[in-house]
Amino acid sequence: MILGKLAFYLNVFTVGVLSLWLSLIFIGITFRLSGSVLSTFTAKAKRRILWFIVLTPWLIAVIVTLVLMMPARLDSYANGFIATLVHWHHAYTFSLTSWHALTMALFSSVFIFGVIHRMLSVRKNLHRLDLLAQFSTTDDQASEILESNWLSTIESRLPQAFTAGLFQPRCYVTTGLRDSISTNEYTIIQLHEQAHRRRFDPLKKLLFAFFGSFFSRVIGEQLNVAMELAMEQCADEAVLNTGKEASAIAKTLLKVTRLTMAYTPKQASVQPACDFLTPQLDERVTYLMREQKGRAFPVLITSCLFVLVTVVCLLSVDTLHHVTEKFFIH
Amino acid sequence: MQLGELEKQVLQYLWETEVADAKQVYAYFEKRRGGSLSTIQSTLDRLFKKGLLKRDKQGHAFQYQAAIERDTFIGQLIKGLTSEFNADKGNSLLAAFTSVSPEFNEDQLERLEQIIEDQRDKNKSDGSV
Repeated sequence: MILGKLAFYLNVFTVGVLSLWLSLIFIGITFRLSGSVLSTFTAKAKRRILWFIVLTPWLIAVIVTLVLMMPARLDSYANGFIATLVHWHHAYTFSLTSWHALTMALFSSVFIFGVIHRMLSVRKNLHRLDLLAQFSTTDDQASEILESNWLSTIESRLPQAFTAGLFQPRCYVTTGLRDSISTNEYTIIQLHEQAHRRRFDPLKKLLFAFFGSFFSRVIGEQLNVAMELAMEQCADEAVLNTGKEASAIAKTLLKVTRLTMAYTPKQASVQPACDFLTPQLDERVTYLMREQKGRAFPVLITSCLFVLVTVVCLLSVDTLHHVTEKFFIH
Repeated sequence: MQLGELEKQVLQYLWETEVADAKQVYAYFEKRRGGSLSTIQSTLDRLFKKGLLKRDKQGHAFQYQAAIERDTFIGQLIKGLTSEFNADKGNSLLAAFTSVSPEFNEDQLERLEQIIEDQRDKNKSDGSV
């Protein structure tokens, strides 16, 4: 049995973990039930909503922990209104053989495993990128469009264009793609990739995926796919804002897709790029061609949802605590 | 896998020459960048151990050739970057301009093309009114 300050901090951690899990469940269910509404928003709003979804559980966990544990720290509030509603009894007592310790150990294991797994995966990915960079050359012709020569050309027949790298992202275009498209299409691709580079999308994707991985696997994947689409739509929109015609951008998308499809695995022993779900291209094209891009970020709805989930979590953590300790030994 | 500058050049040379022994590789690089035969031999050995070259002993010397074609090699690197995303959505460090699902077909592309044309016609007629 641990007593005193250390016990208090361990209890804070436990409350934080419980609140996080509960808010992940509540937000996850909300997303599962209303995820289809996302397509009615602008790409920018979609990005914000998705960030709100993955970050809110963490913020709620902090708030719930503060509300539950503050009365224990501040004696004057100990008998106050909040403490009569919710409180964490035995704040200064922590048993290593209790369910609190089990919760803490479970979360720590999942968290550490998740971080290590992601770091290894990122390292592997960065090594591949490093090697690829060695076989690429800077495209001087692109300097007018991409500031500071951030475009590299890879000599390969595989038609591909992408932006990669975490802190210094670069845009890559293969010669196979560059030589099969017109100057205007090449410019559209460069502007699109530049938008990804300017926004540090690869890094943001990684961070988003990390926070998304705390949801269930199905919801995590849905969130990643939705963010991928929102990022692509934002990059398409950035090209649109430079004055390029929507139809020209959409047609370039279709042309590059056709080129990728024509490049069969037999020719190079590679599958055509990543498994970008079919509806993604559909949505990108229809979004580009739509005059009304959609609704703005729903401040009122998200604020209400935030308050509601925080209150539900606050009450649930306290209830869960009391119910568990009523039936089981602490 | 990390490749040194000489390793990269040797690999490049073998992609173009197809088959060569250490002496032939050395003869080519001696004129261009100097160095010794043993440096070339150890470079070839390293590339072989990395699985990028295959070798065949003919007499006393090894005949080296690329184990993988240049396009396939680059393709695999790109595929590696993108397929990471397939296996576990989110580990990808790249944002591809476009990519396709294996189920995607020409009919779907034609349907999307029709949407673009229809919208463009609509915009034109709206503009002319």
